[in-house]
Amino acid sequence: MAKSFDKSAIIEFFLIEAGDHLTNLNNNLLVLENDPRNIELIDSLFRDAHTLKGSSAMMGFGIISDVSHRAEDILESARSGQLTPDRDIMNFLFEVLDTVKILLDDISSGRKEDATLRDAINRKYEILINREKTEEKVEADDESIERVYKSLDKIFVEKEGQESDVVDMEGAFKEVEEEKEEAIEDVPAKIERPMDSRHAGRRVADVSDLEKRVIRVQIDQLSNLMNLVGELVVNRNRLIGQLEHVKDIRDELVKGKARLLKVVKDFESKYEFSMSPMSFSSTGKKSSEAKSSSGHLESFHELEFDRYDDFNLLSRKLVEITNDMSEIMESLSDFFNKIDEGTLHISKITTNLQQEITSVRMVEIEKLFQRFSRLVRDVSQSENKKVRLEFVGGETKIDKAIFELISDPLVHIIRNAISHGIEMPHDRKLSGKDDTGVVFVRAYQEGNNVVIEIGDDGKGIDPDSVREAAVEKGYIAKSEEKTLTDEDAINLIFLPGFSTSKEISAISGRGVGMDVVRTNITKMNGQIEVHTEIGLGTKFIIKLPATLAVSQALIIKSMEQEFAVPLNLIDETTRISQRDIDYVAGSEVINLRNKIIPFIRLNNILNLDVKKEVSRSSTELYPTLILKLADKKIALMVDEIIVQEEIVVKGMGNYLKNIGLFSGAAISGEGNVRFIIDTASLIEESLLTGKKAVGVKTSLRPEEKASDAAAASTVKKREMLLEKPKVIIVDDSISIRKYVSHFLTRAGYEVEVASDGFEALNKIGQTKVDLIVTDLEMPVMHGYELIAELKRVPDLSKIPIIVLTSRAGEKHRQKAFEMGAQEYVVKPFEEDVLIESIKKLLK
Amino acid sequence: MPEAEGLKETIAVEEAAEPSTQYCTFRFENELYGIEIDQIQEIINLQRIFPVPRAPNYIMGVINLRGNIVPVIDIKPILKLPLWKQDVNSRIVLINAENVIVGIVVDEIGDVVSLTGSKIEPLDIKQDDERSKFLMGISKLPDKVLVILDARRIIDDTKLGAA
Repeated sequence: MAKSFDKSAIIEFFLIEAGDHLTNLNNNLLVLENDPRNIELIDSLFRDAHTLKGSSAMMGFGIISDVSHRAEDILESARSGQLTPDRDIMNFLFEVLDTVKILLDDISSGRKEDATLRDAINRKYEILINREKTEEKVEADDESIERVYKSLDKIFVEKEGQESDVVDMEGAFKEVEEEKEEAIEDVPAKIERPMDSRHAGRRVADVSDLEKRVIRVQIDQLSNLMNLVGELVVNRNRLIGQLEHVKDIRDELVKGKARLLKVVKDFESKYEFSMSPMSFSSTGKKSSEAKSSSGHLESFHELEFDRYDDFNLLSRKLVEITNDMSEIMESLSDFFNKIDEGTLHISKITTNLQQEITSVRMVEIEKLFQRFSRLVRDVSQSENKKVRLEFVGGETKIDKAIFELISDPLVHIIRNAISHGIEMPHDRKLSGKDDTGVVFVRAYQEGNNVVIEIGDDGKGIDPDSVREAAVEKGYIAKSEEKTLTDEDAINLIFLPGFSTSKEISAISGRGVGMDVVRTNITKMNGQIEVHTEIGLGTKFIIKLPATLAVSQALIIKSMEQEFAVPLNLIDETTRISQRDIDYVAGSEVINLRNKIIPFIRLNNILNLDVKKEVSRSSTELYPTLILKLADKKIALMVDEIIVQEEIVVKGMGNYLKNIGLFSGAAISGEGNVRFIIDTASLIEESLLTGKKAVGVKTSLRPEEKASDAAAASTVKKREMLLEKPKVIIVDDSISIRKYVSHFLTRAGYEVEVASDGFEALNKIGQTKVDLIVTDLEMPVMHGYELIAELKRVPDLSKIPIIVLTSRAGEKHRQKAFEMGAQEYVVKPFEEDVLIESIKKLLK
Repeated sequence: MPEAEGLKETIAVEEAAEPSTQYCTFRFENELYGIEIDQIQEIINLQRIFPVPRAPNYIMGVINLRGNIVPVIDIKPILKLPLWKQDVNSRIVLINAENVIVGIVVDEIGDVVSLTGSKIEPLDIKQDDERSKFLMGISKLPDKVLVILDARRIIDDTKLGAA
């Protein structure tokens, strides 16, 4: 065959096509087993096998071609009525399917086809054929395949040198099909296929019709698309946040405008027209100048003629400008409103886009169910049990990525259900059950989750035998055996390496335990539960997110950095004080509703270099997450719980893949990277290693508990390290508030703002403030009043105060210090001066 | 920066029949290094690097490169040089190493130079020195010595879990 032929792109198509044929063959064979004389079905099977043979031969995969040829031969004989598909034949056909599948896997992973597989199939085929004694037919078929090969060679030779693209290949396909159809004409089965040529023609048409409507897309491309949409969503949220800010500014603008108008109005009403010279006491000079300039009017009485002095002119100008300003503000405000509407629109479109792309990735779970029919057949046959499989909810849709990941765990559970759950037919009859056991798989949507229930009506799991096995294998102590509740005992099956079966059978005991099942499910942010009743059956309930691309997480802060914790394993959040912490074998634990669970400080896990943080003030409450994986719980202390958010999960990339503690990263609305904490492995490792070296391969230092006493003195300092100091800025000028809060935030402070003393007092009452920066002259409550109020309340009197004012006079300064302010900074000021003062006072 | 200016004059290395390779040069303090241009995806300004807790010291962290998570490393400790310090002209050079993009921080970007194979001399370094596999050779430019690095190799070998 043509050597230079570049097939790599077409192999991709071939693999997809072959996969489809295999699925069809598998499904139809299962139906055929119960309806062996269905000619239509055999026909359809024959066509699939035939096409598979043809296309694989053309791609140069001779072994797949030969193997499927054997299936085709058998089906051919079945079609012509020469043999009836009995159990042996069915098994042979299934075996062919499995072989082709292995060979396809080889090809897709770039390996050569395994020729020994063909030999095995050929041997079995001989046995079957000898049984049927139909040698002449085989010869005929061999002849026909030889002709096919010849025609193939011809095609490739013809095509050689031409540019080979998919269109060419399709042409070639058609040619081969036709040639082969002709070859098959020789076979004595004409009656069954009356309009052969037209039949073939229609099939081609069907395909192209489908192609008009359907396009196959690589899952990677979809993932990229999904990723981009995720970014869009995150950025939209950020835009909305900024718009909120703009709205605030707009409100300030409206207020400012009203104030300006009022002041100007007052001014106008006072000075619109000149008044008696006496009223200008302070501006007497100006008024007299004005008078002199309008000397001609001296004979008029004041009310007889409007005389304008500078003040009147100023007033008029001011009114004019104010009106102009007011109009500009008006249109600015309108503009903001329009942006608002536009953003709302974009926001809706983004949401729709997200939903649409998500739904493209969704696959009906029915397709997964189909994989199980065969499994149940094989397993029940080999165990000599009678099992019926029931599906409900095949139309439920699930993300393709999850679809692939969940397949193996489900297979494992179903195997277990048949080999451990369902009893032998005889035993079932004895206990009054139907001799055919039922394994059911149910799927349904529940909010953002898809729930899959897998159960059987078998003998159930006996908690006592689990206890026994657990003691025997050393998972629990003999003394623990009695105290363990039935529920806890059943959950032991999820422990690594635990399996209740006495002997390892070839089918159910493949070295993968329920622990792997659970790990895989938690990796997908899913959960698994088990319910069982002795004599009635067992049911596993698996909860999975409908999509993996976007997930819910709690954003937390630790070591001054934000992290995301997937919501699926967070059982609850709580606050723990130092008093609640006990020590067991040198490790911290807490007592949570009478259950002792490990207490882990995220700071210690994240930071290997810094000394272990032993304690803070004994009354302070630490924000703590209770994480739960099956029956295992740990408490994870963080510095701060920020918010619950939707995150777009991104991989860490190849370079950092083995970082361990993090399962990925997400990007916040502001563009910051937050690592996603791999809670499942955190729990696993913290339990396995006796709570100490959580998730850390390098073990933690032993001196961890040394400095209990020293801790108390460093409490204050630690707090400062862990939490940003909070500064409140009290000023009636919005620009001062914005400016100061901007550079203080940048300098690492948390900033609150208030526009007058009263508002400040309210805010200080609500949250803990470490330092106050206040102006003196403000409406409602001025700076001195604020200081006086603060000094009156014992709790607040210790908060350091910096006065930030434009009053440079010694008198003002003196008064501020007398009342209890610590620093006095005069506007305009240098950023550094203020920051230095703040640093000094917070020490 | 005298080094960079000196470089500009050296762009035009003779264009003989011998095939030449282009190298992007950059500076670590007073030393000049070069990486084959094919290994470089792009050069970006320094941006916020988010530290990765518990990572080895040469991993500075990750950046958000247009929505993708890209690790940034300091190759100086790998070359047994003192840790990198940020400077006004600091840049991140993004290396493309088979499916991985990794950024490396440099003090300053120099010019691109074209060198023929004969212009590159093997480095006089002990074979058992672990740096030897990262150093492809040196080239004497008119006023400076250029050390040519195999950035892909560095990335492959320092990948977490590679050892």
